[in-house]
Amino acid sequence: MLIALVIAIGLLDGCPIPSNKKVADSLVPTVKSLRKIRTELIRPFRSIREAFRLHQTWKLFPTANLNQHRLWVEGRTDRKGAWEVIYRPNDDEHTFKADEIEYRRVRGAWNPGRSPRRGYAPFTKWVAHEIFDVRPDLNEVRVRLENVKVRPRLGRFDSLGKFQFERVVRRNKREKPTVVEPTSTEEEVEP
Amino acid sequence: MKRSKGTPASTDRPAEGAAKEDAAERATNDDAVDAAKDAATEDAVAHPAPIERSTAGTPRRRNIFRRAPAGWVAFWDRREPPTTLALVRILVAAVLLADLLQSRTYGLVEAIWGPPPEGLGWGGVGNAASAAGRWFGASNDTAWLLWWTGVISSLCLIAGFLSRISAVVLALTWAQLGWMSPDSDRGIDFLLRAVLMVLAASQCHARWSVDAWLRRRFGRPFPDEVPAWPRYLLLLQLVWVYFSAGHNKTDGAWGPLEGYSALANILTDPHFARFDPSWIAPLYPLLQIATALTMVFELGSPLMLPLTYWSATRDRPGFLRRWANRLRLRWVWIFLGINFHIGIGVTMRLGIFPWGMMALFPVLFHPEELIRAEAWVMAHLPRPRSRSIAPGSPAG
Repeated sequence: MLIALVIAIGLLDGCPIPSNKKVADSLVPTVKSLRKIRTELIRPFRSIREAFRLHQTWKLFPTANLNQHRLWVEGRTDRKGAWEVIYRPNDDEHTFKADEIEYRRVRGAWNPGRSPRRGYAPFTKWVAHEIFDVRPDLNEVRVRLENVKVRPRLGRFDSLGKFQFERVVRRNKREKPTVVEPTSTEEEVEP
Repeated sequence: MKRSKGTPASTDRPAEGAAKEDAAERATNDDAVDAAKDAATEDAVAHPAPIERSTAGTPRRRNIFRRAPAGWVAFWDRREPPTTLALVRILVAAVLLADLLQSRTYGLVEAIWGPPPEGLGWGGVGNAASAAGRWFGASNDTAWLLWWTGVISSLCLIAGFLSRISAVVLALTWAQLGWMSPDSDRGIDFLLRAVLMVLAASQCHARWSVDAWLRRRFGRPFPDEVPAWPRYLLLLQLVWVYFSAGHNKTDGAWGPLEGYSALANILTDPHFARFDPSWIAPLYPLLQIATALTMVFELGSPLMLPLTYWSATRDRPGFLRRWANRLRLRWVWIFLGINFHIGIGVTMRLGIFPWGMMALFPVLFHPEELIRAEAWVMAHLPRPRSRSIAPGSPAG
């Protein structure tokens, strides 16, 4: 009985009920009802689900759009200086902390879906700290995502000339540039 | 509903007798639960075997609904050697340990699980803070506490020391790491937590473990065969993961409408591609085929259930069974899966995902197949030469 229950709950949880946007207007009430029924049926097991952080809906690359993003991490000495690229994925000349930034758990914070993730702002702070630690000459770090279009038939991706989700982190002027422990006194500016 | 020692222990074993003997045995034994299961499965594939024909119309046939629960219980109560579960235990724990060590090697423990503004661990603060955040406070110390707990419990699980406790502790720790830093918690983490829960309830520590060694020392060894249901459940889980992933791929690039371009698109995405995308253009048609095969592999995953059953009962009659085994469709699916994961593991930066998935692949094999593979490996391993001692010479 227990195994049957586990299988039934798993299938119920993973049952693909489409979102309201993906169904015809006439079917929206039905979809809402189904979702409500599912929520009610799973409710008794929610504590287990939350304790172990489980679900049974699996989305492995559900979308494979041509329109993607490319992260840019840049730095400059002051507000009048030119931005210098410090890290970009798939760019052999700008590989600062590439392993760390591309580690799956960190990428989860900066690789956007439809909107930036909640970890994006802490990520910009973290990467700015890392840069300020090793580059005393830099006082500003900018993190943004370039809109690119992938062209697999040509074996390349092209910039669309637009950037999104731009954030700038400045080194606190009262603090001397240092190469020791990172501080938490940077001010953050969202343009 | 216990089996007698004389009956086959598992569908995973080749049928021990010919089909006629099997039918005769079932006809004379209403409690033969294997027969109930077999009857249900044969009916399900609309493929009546001689066994069904011989019993059609009898009270036994009419009582199939009454016997179904017994068949269900008997099916999940089967036993098999613990090799598969032990291997999954070791591989899954090793993958999780490798992930933790990688985060430490990169110096990212505090960055990922520490609290904002420097850390990405926003899940440990605020009103809806995770349990670890509430109990221990959102701090770098808590991040390290969870990290060390994860390392120690995964080491214990690999070694098979206090395996059940280790599996539960590791699952809870992994969940807390996920709650602390939700953006860093990916699909593979959800899957491996579910696997850990199944392993905790299994006797995956009956082989290759400190627990088994200790029990032998205390004169209470594990039985040669352990419940097979955890493996069946993991097989179902794996099949569901692929099938769910398949039917959630709603983007046109995964189908003919956009020319099966999905894999080529992803491999050109600078956030995931491991190499410069210039190699993709000449191989584009191959990647289209690979995309189509990926969909066949994922949406065809439920077929692994009958294929596995037919392969385990290959001596029994049936057109579908015969052809599925002759064409080696089960092996084709496994081969596709291994290629799929190695392919994306080599060409994309996906962390532990491909290796975590392949850590579950032992459940696709029958225990006998793994035991044969183990025997082959042991026979081909280089062994340390024993010092030959001439008769009469002093020994050391």
